[in-house]
Amino acid sequence: MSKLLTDNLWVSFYIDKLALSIAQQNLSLFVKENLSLFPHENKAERQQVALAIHEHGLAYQANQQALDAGVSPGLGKASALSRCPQLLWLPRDLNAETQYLQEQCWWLSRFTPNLCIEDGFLLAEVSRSLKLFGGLEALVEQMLEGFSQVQRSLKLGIAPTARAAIWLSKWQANRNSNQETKSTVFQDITIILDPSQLRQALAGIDIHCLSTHTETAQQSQHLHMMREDLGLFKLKSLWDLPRQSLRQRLGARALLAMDQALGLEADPRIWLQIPETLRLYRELSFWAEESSHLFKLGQVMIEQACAQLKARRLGLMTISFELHHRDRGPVSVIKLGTQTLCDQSKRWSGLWEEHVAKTVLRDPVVGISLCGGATQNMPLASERLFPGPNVIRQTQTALFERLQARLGQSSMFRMLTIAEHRPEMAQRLCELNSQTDYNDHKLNSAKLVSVAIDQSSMGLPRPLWFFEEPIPLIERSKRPYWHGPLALVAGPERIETAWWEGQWFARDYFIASDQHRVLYWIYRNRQHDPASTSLQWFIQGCFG
Amino acid sequence: MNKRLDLLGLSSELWWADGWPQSATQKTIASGFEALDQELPAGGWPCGALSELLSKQIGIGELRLLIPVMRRLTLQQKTVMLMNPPMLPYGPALASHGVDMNHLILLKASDVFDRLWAIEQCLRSNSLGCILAWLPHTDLRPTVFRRLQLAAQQFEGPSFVFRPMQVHTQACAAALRVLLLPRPQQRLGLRILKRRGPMHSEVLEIELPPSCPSF
Repeated sequence: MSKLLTDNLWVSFYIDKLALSIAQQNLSLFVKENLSLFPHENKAERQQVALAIHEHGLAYQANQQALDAGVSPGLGKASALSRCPQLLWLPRDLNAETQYLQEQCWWLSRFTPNLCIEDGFLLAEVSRSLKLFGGLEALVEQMLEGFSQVQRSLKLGIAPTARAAIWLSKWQANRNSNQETKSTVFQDITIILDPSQLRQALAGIDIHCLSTHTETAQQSQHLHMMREDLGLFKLKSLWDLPRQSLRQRLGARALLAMDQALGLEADPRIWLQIPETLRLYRELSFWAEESSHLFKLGQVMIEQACAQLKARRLGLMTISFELHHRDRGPVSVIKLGTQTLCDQSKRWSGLWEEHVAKTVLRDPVVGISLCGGATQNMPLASERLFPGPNVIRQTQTALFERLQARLGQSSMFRMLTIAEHRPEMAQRLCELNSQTDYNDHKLNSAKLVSVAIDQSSMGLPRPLWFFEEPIPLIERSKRPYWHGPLALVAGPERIETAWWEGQWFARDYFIASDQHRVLYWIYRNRQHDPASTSLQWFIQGCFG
Repeated sequence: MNKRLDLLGLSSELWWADGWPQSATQKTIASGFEALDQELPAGGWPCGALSELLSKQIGIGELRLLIPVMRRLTLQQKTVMLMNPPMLPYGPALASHGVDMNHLILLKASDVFDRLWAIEQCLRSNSLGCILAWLPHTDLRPTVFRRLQLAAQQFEGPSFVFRPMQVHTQACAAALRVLLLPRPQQRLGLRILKRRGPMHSEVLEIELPPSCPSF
């Protein structure tokens, strides 16, 4: 026997009745929102809905309620419905199945980059991840967290070759369905670590596993015949046969598969590439007429997108959701934006919640797609024992994003002070937005001066409250009047500037007090035209 | 009596009506006015609780009353949020009082529910240094303030709500309620309507940081 070729360790994930699990997941997402689909009020009743998935007009998979009612796989629609009138008869969605497996791959990619999908099996090569994640058992337990929704139908196989892992997981699936055991995944998992034990461990596997490796109809017929007529149920019984005749009956591919399973032949695989652009699409199983129905699905999509981002250590600042409408009209777009690079699903979900609550659907929605903006490498933050300024800054940024998501982009401002004599120009409101970092202290570096302006260099103090538009005052008995006569208490301070910009700016500022002792900042325009006699008073501020 | 309360483990929640609470659990921040600090429980504006400031009109010195707090917090690099002020605060004046304008943020929301939501969000996130919110509405229900007061308990800094004077007869869940009264010569009158301590009936007068040196 030639030397074993491998020092790898493969974990194969097989989800039994995947089509059924996906359909049930979709239902659980929408049933709560769309009660009209199910008139049952209480949740316990709702879970007892009989469900069958059909393919080519025949029942393909059925849940326990349907099986109990006598709907077995292979039945036609009419006979299935006659046995169980309240049966939900849904088509199999192959796209959704592959998509589901791919999304699970993105989850697994945080443990190992070596992943591939084959015929509904998810394969992960983990030999190089064992040490980092604390051993095989700890690693597998962490991996299983991502499969919590399908845990009961998830089957695992762990072996030094990919083919053996696949067969082990499938064999386990068959064995379980025969025995109807309901133990946890870890107890009846078959783990082979030593390549030399492969032959012994695989000996008991059903030869049905070779059915996908036959090339012609004749070969598969041979395989069927061997199993049913000759009583060769186990792989072991095939190995006892002469190789030459086996090759003639089953073809070279089946033989190669067996050798690959035993590690005698190389089994090269192409690793799954995570797509460069983030784009997910989900079709709804009902028409969403209110935007709140979309919230939960969007949240699930965000979680998947973030798993993808985390796998590639990327972050992004914009995500847009496209809502596809029933009338096939133009899609509605909901844009989410953060101020800093973000790969946290919680933060995105918070924004999504605010945005979706504001959205009014113009037409029922039949599908949602999620498109990520430009991605950038996520800088790694250093962890600290106690929450320091960094943590506070992060929660603050998240808070501002959330506020802006509901109140609009132009709802929050930073106040910049500028060294400038004209009072209107000495302050500028600057919107908080993605271009300027919230915590960027360089904002006020060159042009903008924020140092405390020396009181003595300015004539009069400045008011704390400022009127954006100066209000003209009337004059009564030669005194300015604002809800009562005003008495000038300080001034004047003359501001005469900006002649070089073509506009003559010349004002005399006074501080005035009313009968309630509130102090105001008022001014008189010094007209450049000497002909005009009466001077207009304006009020521009109030000393709070 | 106090011993008996100690045995019951209630000494921090119960106190004699004419004295101060025994416990020093209440965190405060000094107001910057000594006379006022003496009258406030634990010697300053309460942190982790709502303070309500009532005034008849704008511009009697309510912003200058809080300038020491704003100055201290912004110099500690903590963000001060001004929510829906009735007029535009003027940066050069604030800067001349020593407030670091880099840490001041202005929020504008027109709808009253948006305003209340925003205040609650800011309090709950506990990432700001101080919140100053103006609520000129007179028809807000007491439950609103109960909710805000509960949210404020998660907030480590002081939070102030400015309201019109008409509402001083309405019940309010804020831990501190102060009526602001205009006084001449750069002074401000304060009447403490509610505090976690004995009743306070007379008007307290404090000298504000001068905005106008010659007057």
